[in-house]
Amino acid sequence: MQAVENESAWSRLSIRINAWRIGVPLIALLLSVPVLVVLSYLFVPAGEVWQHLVDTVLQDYVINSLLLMVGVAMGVLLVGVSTAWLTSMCQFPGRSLFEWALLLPMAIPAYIIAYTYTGLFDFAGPVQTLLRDWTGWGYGDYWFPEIRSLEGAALMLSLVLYPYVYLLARAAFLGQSICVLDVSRSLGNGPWRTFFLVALPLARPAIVAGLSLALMETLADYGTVQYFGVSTFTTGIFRTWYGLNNAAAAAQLSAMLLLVVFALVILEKGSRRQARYHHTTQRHQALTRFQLNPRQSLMAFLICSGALLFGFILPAGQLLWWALTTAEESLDSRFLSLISHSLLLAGAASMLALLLALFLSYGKRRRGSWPATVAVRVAGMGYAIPGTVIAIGVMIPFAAFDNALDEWMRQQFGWSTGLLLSGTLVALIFAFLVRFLAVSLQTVEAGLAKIRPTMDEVARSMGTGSGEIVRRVHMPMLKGSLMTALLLVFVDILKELPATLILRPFNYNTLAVRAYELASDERLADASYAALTIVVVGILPVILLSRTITRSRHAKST
Amino acid sequence: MRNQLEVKHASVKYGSQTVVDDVSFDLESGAISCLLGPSGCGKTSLLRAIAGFEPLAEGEILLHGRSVSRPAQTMAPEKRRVGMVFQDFALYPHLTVMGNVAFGLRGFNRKQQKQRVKELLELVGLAGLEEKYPHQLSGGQQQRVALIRAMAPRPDILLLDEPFSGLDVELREQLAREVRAILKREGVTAILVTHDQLEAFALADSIGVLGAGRLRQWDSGYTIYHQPKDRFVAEFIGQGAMIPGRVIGGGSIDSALGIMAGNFIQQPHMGDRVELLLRPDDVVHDDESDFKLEIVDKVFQGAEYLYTLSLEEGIELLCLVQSHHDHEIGEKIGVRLYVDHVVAFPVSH
Repeated sequence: MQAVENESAWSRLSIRINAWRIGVPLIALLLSVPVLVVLSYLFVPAGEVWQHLVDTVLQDYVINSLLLMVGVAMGVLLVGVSTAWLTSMCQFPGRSLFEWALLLPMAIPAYIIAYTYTGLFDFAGPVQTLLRDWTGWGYGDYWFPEIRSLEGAALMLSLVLYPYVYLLARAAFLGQSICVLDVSRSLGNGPWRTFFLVALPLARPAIVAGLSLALMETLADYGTVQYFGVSTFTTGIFRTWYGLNNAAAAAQLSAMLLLVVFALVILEKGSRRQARYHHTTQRHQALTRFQLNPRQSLMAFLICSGALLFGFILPAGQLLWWALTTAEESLDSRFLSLISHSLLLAGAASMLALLLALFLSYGKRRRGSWPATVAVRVAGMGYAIPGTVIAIGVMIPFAAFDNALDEWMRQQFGWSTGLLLSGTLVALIFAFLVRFLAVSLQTVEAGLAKIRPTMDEVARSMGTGSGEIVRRVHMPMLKGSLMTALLLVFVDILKELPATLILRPFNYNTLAVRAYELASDERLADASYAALTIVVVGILPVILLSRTITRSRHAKST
Repeated sequence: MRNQLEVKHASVKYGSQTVVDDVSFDLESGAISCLLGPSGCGKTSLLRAIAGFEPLAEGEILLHGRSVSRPAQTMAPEKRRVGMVFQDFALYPHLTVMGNVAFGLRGFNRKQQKQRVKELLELVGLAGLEEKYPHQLSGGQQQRVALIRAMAPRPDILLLDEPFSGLDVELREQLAREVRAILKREGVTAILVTHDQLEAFALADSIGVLGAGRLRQWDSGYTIYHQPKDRFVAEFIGQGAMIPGRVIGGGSIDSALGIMAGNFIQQPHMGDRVELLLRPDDVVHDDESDFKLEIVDKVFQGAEYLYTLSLEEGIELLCLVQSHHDHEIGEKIGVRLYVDHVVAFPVSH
C-alpha cells in the first residue's frame, strides 16, 4: 500500500518538475524573440534604404544621440551627486523632507515635462509674455533660450532622470559613512576634502551604475526628442518604419542602438559588482552629519529645492493649472474611455507579468540549476531595451506569422484570418511583458529570497503539504512584494509611450498616447488631464520607494 | 524497550559521490543521541535522510517500526511525524510566537492549541511571550521557540541540525544543558547534529562519530574520548599526544615512557610498531614522582594549565594541571601516568 502511494506521489512530482523544466526556458526564449529578431538584422545585407540612411541622416542620429547622452550625463551627475551628498551627509533645515521629495521627479515622464516646459517658456508662454509686458519688447527684439532644442532635451531628461543617480549615490554614501569618513575627519579633513578624497572615489561605482540607468532611459526616450525636433536613433527608427516604410532598415537602426544599450548594461552590471566591494562597512549606526553654517545651509537648501522645484513642482503645478482651467471641455466620456483603456491594459499586463514572474522565480527556486538561472536572467534583460526597439522586434515576426497563416488558410480553406497577433492587444501586451517583466521578476525574487528553504522544510516536517505551505507561509510573506511588483509594472506601462504608439490597435488610445498626440498638435492645455493622471499615478511608486528609504534609515539608527 | 529509530546500512549519494556510506544504528524511545563529525562528514545528509528530505541509495530507515525510506521509496517528510529544528531557527516572521508554535498542531481546537502552546512556553521559561513576533526575541529565545514548535505536535522523533551554532559561544553550553533537561522531561527521542564535541557531551546519551560518510564509533561520550576505536576518532575528539612504541612479548608495549602493560583495546601483535594515545588528563602532575619532564609550553585555561612537556627529542606530552600549580617554561615537573585502557594504533608504513 505504502509503496503504491509513494510511487504515485513521485510521478506526480516529476510531472510538475517537468512543467518547470520546459516552461521556464520556453518563456525565456519567447521573451527574447524581439531582441533576437532585431539583432539578426545585423547579418542581413544592407539594402538601398540603408545606404540612403548612411549617406544622409545616420550621422545626425549618431551625433545627436551622443550629444544628448553627454548633456544628460553632466546634468544628472551634477544634480544627483550633489543632492545625494547634501541629504545624506549634511545637516540643514528641510533635509529630511528633501530626502524623499527629491525622488518626486521620477513620477513625471520626460515627454510630459518637455511639453509642460514648452508651454511655460515658449514665445506665447507666461514667462515670455510677462517679460514683454514688463519691457515693452516685441517679437524679435530680444534673445530667449530656445527650449525646443538639443540642449533643452538634455535639460528635460536630466530633470527627471537625476533620481537614478541620487538613489544609488545616496545608498553608497550611507553605506560607507561609519568607518572611512570618520577616519578622514579624525585625520583633520573637512567636509570638502573628505568628499573629494574619500567619499566620491568610493561611491564612484554606484554613481556609474546610476548614470548608466539614466543613459539607458535617455536612449529609450522618444517623446521628448520627437517633440523637440531632435533627430536621434529612436526618432530615426520611427521615421524609417513609418516614413520610408522599410522594416529591414528600421531593424538595422534598432540593432545599432541595441549595441550601445548592451555596452551600458555591461557598464551598469560591472559597476554594481564593484560597488559591493566598495561597501566598506557592515556596521550600521546613527551617523553624525556635517553641521552646516547658515550660509552653507542656505546654499544646500537652494540646491535641493532647485532640483525639486524645476523637476517637479513647476511642471506639476503648470499641469494642475491647465487641468483646472480646461476642466469643462476635457472631462468628457472620451477621457473616461482613455482611463478605462489604460487601466485595463496596464492592469492585465501587470497581472500577467506578475504571474510569469512568480512562475519563473519559483522555477528557479525549486530547480536552482544553471539552465533555470540563465533562463530567468534572459527573461529579465528587457528593462534596458528601448520600447521602440522592442516594438520593431515584436512587429516583424508577428506580422510575418499573421501573413503566413493568412496565406495558408486562404489556400487551404479559402478564407482569410486577417491580423491575429500584430495590430491587436496581444502584440502590445507581449511587448510590455518583454520590457517590464524584469521589474516584477526582481521584486518577486527578492521577496522569495526571504523565505529560506528551511522554512519550507520545517513546515513539511510538521505535516504540511506543498499547497498548504504556499497558503500559510509563502503568500503571507510574499504579499507585500507581490503588491509592489504589480504596482511598479502597472505604473511603468501607464507611462510607456513609443511601444504603445507603434503596436496599439487602430484608434486604441491610452492616456500616454493621447497626451502625446494633443501636445504634438500644440493643444498643450487639453493634454493636461491625461498627463496629470499619469503623474498622479506615477507618484505611488515614489511613495513606496521613499518609505523603504525611511524604513531602512530607522532600522539603521536602532 | 522498543526501538524508535532503526537505521540499517543506509547510504546517501549525490550523483556518483557517496556522502553517507553504509551507516547502521538504533535509537531507543526517549534516548538522546548525537551525530558528531567535522563539516562534510555526511552527518547533515544522514539527518535529512531520516527526515525524508534526502532519498536513500541503499539500506533502510524505520521510524517507530514503519519503514519510511528504502531505495527509490521515500515517504514524504510531512507524513513521517518528525520534528525539525534548524540552525537558522526558520521561525515565520509573519506569525507570532503563538502562531509559530501552533503551526503544526492539527486536530486541536483553538482552546486546546492555546493550552498546549502555553504549557510548552512555560516548560522553556518563556511564559507570556505568546503575542511577540520573532524579531522581538533574543537569539536564545528564538531558539527555544523553534524547539517547542517542533515538539508541539509530539513527533516520533526530534531532529536538531546544528541548533546552537547560530548563538553566542557563552550561550551554547548552557542552552544545550537546558534543552537536554526539557527533552528528558517530555520523554522526547532526539538526534542532534553538531561539529562541537562539548555540545555533544552536554546533550547526548550516546554519540555517533562520523568521518568521510562512515560511522566510526557509536558510544557514550566518555568511551569515545578515552577509548576511541580508530585514529580518526582519537584525533577529532579532544587533545592528546601520540607516542611511538613497539609491541614486545606478553602484550606489552615498549616506548619512551617505558614498558606498559594493561588493558589493551585492540590486542597488539608481537613486534608491531604502534602509537600510544595519551590524553592530557592521563598525565597527572605529582611533585613526589621521580619521572620529571621539562615544560616547553603552557596555556592558561582558567581552572587549569595545559602544559606541553618534552619527553625526548621530537616527542611531546600534554598534561592538564590545576591552575594553582603555576610552573615556568623550562622548569622540570614530576608526572605520573594514569591510564585505565591503553589505546594503541598500528603505524601504517
